[in-house]
Amino acid sequence: MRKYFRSVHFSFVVLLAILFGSCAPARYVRPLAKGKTVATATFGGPLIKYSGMTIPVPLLGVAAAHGYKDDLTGFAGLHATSLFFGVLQIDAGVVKGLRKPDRWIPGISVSPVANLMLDKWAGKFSFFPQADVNAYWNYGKQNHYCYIGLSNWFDLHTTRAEGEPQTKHWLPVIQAGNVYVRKKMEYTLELKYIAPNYSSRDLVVPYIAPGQNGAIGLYIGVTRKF
Amino acid sequence: MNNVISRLFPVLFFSCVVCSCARLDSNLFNNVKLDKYLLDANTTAQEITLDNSYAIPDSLTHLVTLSSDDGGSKAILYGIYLGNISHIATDTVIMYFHGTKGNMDYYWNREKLLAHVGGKNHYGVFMIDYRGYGRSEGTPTESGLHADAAAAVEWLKNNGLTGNRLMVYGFSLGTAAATYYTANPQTLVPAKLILEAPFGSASVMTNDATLLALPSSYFTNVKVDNAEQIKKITQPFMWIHGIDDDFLSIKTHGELVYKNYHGTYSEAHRIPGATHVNVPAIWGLSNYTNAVRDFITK
Repeated sequence: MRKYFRSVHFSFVVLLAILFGSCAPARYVRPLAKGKTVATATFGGPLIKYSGMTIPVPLLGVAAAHGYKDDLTGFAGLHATSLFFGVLQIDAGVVKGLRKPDRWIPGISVSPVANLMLDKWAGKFSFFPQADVNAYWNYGKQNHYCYIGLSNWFDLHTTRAEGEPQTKHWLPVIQAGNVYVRKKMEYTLELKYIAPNYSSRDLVVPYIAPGQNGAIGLYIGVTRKF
Repeated sequence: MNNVISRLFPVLFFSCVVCSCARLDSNLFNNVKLDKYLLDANTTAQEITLDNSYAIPDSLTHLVTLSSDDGGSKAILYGIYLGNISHIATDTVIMYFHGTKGNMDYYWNREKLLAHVGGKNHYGVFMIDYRGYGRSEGTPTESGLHADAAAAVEWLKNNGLTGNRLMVYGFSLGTAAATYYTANPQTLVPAKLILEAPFGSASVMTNDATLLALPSSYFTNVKVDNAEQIKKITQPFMWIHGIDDDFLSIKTHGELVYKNYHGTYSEAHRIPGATHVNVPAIWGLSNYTNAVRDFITK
């Protein structure tokens, strides 16, 4: 039945998916060395069915990060697709390294993030705190790394549309990715399982997910090192 | 160079914010333009199929035109009246507001089915194509939808209908037209309201899709706020919704609208196994028409 709207309303689906759980890959998992600065462009989003194909929602974002200490990196990101629709959506946070990886023992980092949104149409402001924890392993001469982690979005609102109670306060996101490191560039590929604790049946958006719970997301990132 | 970029960036950034104007409003409408209505000759798939016993005589099938004015944006609309137009002055009429898909060809079988409520052509049934649908002029908008609904009722009034014989029925997108008109009547005050698979609102759709309590203004200026408009309605109200509706969840949309109704009488029909588009078929065509008849005659 979702063809009822879906076939000709791709942009509707896309935009409703923009802020679903998380619309960008994990910003930065491994803290930067002190004094290092990077800029990143990301592309991708939750997988949806479209015209018989499974594709990631094409969401675009940019971010920048700076290493203040060897174990503390600050970053901020701008969601370009949201901006196109008149919504200023930014996220800002830090990555704190708790331990460095040692052979098979992973490095651990945590990342508190503030997600802020403001639309120009009604001036509505939204704030969603986020807290990530990631484990990562370095490998290869170029110090590539792979990671797994848990990202957590928190919805602090007590009510949702039409004054109904908001019962969904915790949106966990399980993520796994790989960062291929070159001298001046880094390339990220990440897979997410967004909000597996919530059903995605009977929604406008035909998300792809096991058992119709949550949504699977696919993201790529390109980082320029300065 | 870096200095120039750093100075230009804020200007470019705020220019983007100010100039960005993409909205999803038009995406609410899945309209298809036509040069000619095919009706029974239409071979594309419809939501429900009817056998020949549901055929309506040509003499009781009337393609009509009417004028609609949405704050100066005028459009000629097409409608199909099933019944004897000269009997509108004495008949009870079901004003059927169809869903978002296609045009009246797509909902033709639904209109024919309603023409069998209480027996073949017992009640008159009127359906229109909103602006931008089928042969109707213009481009669909939410305000245009409401204007077109009012124009349709006015056409019925001009043909002799009175409010006490006007039954308003909305399906899916048409529930926005039906609910808004009944809550804010113009030429005629409807006697009763029937909503099948109603929207809660654009905000509910947004929250459902994102799981987050996000304002719908992030995506659209459309309201389709049945959950709020239904509060104004006191007329008897019949709600029908497929329990397995996979587009407008019965829980977040339908139940909300039903809960917000505070009028004189209401009845709910939650249909097991039915999705968004196939309630009459899953419920059983005669069960469906009998339930509508019973509500109208109650």
